[in-house]
Amino acid sequence: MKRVPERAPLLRAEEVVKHFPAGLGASVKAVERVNFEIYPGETVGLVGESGCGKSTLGRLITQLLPVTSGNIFFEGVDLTKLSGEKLRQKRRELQMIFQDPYSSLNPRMTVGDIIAEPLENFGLLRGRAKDKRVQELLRIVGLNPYFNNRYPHEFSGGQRQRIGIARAIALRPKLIVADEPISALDVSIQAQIINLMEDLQKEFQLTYLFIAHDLSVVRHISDRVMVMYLGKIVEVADSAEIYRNPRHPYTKALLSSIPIPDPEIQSKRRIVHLSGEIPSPVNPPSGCRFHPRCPIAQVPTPCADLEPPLEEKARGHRAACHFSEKVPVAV
Amino acid sequence: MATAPGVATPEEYVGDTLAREQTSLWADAWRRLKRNRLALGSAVFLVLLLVVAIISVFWTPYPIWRQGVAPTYQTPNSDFLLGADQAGRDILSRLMVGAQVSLEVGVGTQIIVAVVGVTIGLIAGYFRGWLDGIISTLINIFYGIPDLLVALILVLILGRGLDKIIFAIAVTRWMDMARLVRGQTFSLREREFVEAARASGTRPNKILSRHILPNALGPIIVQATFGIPQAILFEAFLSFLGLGVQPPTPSWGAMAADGFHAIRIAPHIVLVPAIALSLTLMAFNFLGDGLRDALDPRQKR
Amino acid sequence: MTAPVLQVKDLKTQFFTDDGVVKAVDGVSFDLHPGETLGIVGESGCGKSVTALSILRLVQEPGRITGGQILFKGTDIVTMPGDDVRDIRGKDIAMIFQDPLSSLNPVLKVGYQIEEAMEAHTKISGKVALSRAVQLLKQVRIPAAESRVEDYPHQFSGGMRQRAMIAMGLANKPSILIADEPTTALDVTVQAQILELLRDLNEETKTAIILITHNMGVVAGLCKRVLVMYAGRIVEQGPVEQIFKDPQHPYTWSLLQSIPRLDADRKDRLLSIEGLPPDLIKPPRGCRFHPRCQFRIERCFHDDPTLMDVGPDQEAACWVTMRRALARDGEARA
Ligand SMILES: Nc1ncnc2c1ncn2[C@@H]1O[C@H](COP(=O)(O)OP(=O)(O)OP(=O)(O)O)[C@@H](O)[C@H]1O
Ligand SMILES: Nc1ncnc2c1ncn2[C@@H]1O[C@H](COP(=O)(O)OP(=O)(O)O)[C@@H](O)[C@H]1O
Ligand code: SF4
Ligand code: SF4
Ligand SMILES: [Mg+2]
Ligand SMILES: [Mg+2]
Repeated sequence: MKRVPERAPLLRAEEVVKHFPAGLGASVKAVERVNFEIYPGETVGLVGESGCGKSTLGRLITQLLPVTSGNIFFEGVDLTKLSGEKLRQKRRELQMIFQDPYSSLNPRMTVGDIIAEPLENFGLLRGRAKDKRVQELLRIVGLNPYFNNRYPHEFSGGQRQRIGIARAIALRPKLIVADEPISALDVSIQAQIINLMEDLQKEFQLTYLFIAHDLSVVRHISDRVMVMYLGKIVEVADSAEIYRNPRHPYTKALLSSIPIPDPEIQSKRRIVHLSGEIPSPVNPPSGCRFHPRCPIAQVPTPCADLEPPLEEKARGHRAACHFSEKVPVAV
Repeated sequence: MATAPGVATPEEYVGDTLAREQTSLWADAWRRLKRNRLALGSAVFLVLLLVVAIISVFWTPYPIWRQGVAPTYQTPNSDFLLGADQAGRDILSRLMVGAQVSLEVGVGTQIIVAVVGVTIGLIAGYFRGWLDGIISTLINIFYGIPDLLVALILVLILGRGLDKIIFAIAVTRWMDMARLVRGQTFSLREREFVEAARASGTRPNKILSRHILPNALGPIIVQATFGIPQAILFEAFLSFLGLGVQPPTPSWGAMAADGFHAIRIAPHIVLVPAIALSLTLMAFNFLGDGLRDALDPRQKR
Repeated sequence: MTAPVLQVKDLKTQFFTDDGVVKAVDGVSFDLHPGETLGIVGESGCGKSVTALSILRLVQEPGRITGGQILFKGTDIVTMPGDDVRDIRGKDIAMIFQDPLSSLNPVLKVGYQIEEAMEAHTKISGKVALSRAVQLLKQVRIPAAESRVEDYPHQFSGGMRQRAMIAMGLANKPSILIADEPTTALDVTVQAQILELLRDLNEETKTAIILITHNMGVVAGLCKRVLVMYAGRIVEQGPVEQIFKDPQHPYTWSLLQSIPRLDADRKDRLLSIEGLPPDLIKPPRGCRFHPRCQFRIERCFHDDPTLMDVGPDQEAACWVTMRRALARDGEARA
């Protein structure tokens, strides 16, 4: 475990809320009062089902979306209070890798121009020096440096993702939010990208927020894992701990659903059934948002009328469940 | 050359093979356009028209304004290939200069329309909010007023010079372009590469010029290509009403109007400019269709 | 063993594009027995979907089946008149796709669409059709099926739509159900439910299932036998336990080594398969996997291996095979 309690977090989210207007006065409650920290040098995995708010949270952290309320402190500075030039300057330290390697590169720009753009935005390098740096970045991400004048459509998905990674590390940021960076890639290519990201982390002391819906990948790459459900973080723990000892019924269900590529093990595993599907974030359920699907819910009291706080259940292990101690046996 | 599992990798290195051969997006579009016979034929026709229009600046078979170079109502013969009009002026000469007028009107209005429409569309689409509100209202107001009324009032106020006609037509025509660019910008700004540009600290002006505009260029070119014949037709119509380019500068619309009273005895006076006009309009429309299919292969009619 | 319901023999399907001929499926052969669950795995573009579409003669222009046979209960689908193929589609062989929303008609009620699927092949009265539709929805475990038949597709969630598609597929009690990435668009919790449903239905109805996926874990959970495809060819096939425990083709082996596993502790590095999947217009000479294979020998560069027996009921197309490759590495290290 890389976390040292005394160390100041690189990023701290406090009561972050994001609502999107959904017409007729309704709103999509995409992220609801979320709190967490990310420490320097660690990789935090963020998992959850589609639509639970992972990407939205990622975009709030990188300030591509404004928060509805709450604060996001990056090295002690509240990003939500910054705008214009001040915010732009902060972007040097906060970068993002996107899910879709096809739509995240401008088809009308050469790969060299795409990677050089962040450098130009901050007037860091010019002319020859800039070209050299671009070629070096291409080499670092495993691409031929002489491809800098090619266009994105000439590259495969995995190669394009490498270009996106080169762009993200060009400014030597401190934190990179990677939003499902491998889920659009071929299976045989995914390991290449994971390995590259791990190598870069060591080389440049990067901190990652790694968003994914695939828990096996998250388990491999993360030091700590946060599980999100319907806009809320329901469990946070060390990666090994959360897999060994989940304290939230949802985490346990999620884990049991991941197919393991081993027919013998897979045929013996027991799947935790969740009734129904994720409710609409426009009208999330009362109390614990998970209660309509939870196999151990006690309704109405306390699960349907009392929202469980995200509390420490063991050292470094927080979960939001009234009955977390029952999870290991009862779920 | 065996290697232990998990240790070494083959020499072929991911970065050394490209997924596809290098063809630029424009080269790709050109390849598709080349296969479209109709569009290609139209383009050839329009290039010839342009050549004729340029020649007419320096030379015409006969002076266009001199009356009586031929007998009045002369039908086409070897001296006057397209005949002569009621004042005995050579129709071919006038047709050539008329081409120049038509192209100037068509291209001139579209240049103004493109500059104004693209700027307004980009601003409305990118910044949204109240700016977009004002611009959208403005667009709707302009759509609400009849084109002809706007053009007539402007011509009456400004006069009938070619530049004024071009301006007047552009005033009635910029909204389509603005609306198109606004829509394109709206959707492009949600694309991940624009988000990526914002995330890496790109300023809005550069996002618009480097990321959004180049990606909207295809539809803009197509729209402008369709806009040219509309403007030419509009000018012809104004001329037909006697409110087009100041005589004696010949415009196809005015030529047709001039011959209208004699349509029974000398139909060629009306037919020649009318056919020239139709062919030109058709050519621009075919070219526009071809460009649309070539530049925007997904968005078929 | 019973006679196979489906025999694919040396199937070749090609797309005639501007850039050249895409050899999407290039000599694929396999048998499917009644009630069997067969998995087809491989990365995207290796020809899994085109194989499936070819079986139903649904390949679109500019694609064409250019060779081989597809014998359904002995008759060749490739050369059959169009009307007969239409009879087989949906009745004897049903297919479900990755994206359930785009395969359902948004303006028709779900129940109506299931009834339509039945009435396309058999004349039955409206009442019977309705009760059968309800029964089918129950069979795919849609709660409150009686009222849900009246719903439109947008009122269903993603998982329910896929269930409805499965219900439609089962409407005529087909002998084969082809599922092309049926869970790829779904969340893992829903995926687990759909896979369980398919497993149960296979046991209840004895419908043979061809499951196409790029997810090795999904195959492990559902299939008895598996075909591994690479660049338009089958490179390995056999019983699922054997393939997962003792893969003989380096591609299968690398694929299994390169995916992080939920039940494994954190490793330092994943094994990565370098290079790119090949271009099917100009596939590499020799073994198609050789540019990316870490076990290749001289012969692999120019000699194209065919499927050879490598174990009981298991075949692989490789000159080296993992058994020898690993032994060789063991020696080299010793
Ligand atoms: N711009 C927007 N306007 C309105 N609603 C939005 C917007 N962006 C996201 N949402 C909604 O917010 C919720 C969370 O979305 P988000 O994209 O963060 O999910 P996610 O966890 O990243 O899902 P996935 O795994 O599918 O990527 C969803 O209900 C989504 O529909
Ligand atoms: N309509 C089409 N036109 C041209 N090529 C096609 C078409 N459909 C599929 N292909 C090509 O056929 C090959 C196999 O595709 P497919 O069977 O869809 O792969 P997958 O294994 O991912 O299902 C790919 O190279 C693909 O590009
Ligand atoms: S609080 Fe209640 S409903 Fe929520 S997860 Fe815990 S047991 Fe289930
Ligand atoms: S034949 Fe050679 S190149 Fe092909 S998989 Fe076997 S060892 Fe590798
Ligand atoms: Mg997302
Ligand atoms: Mg497919």
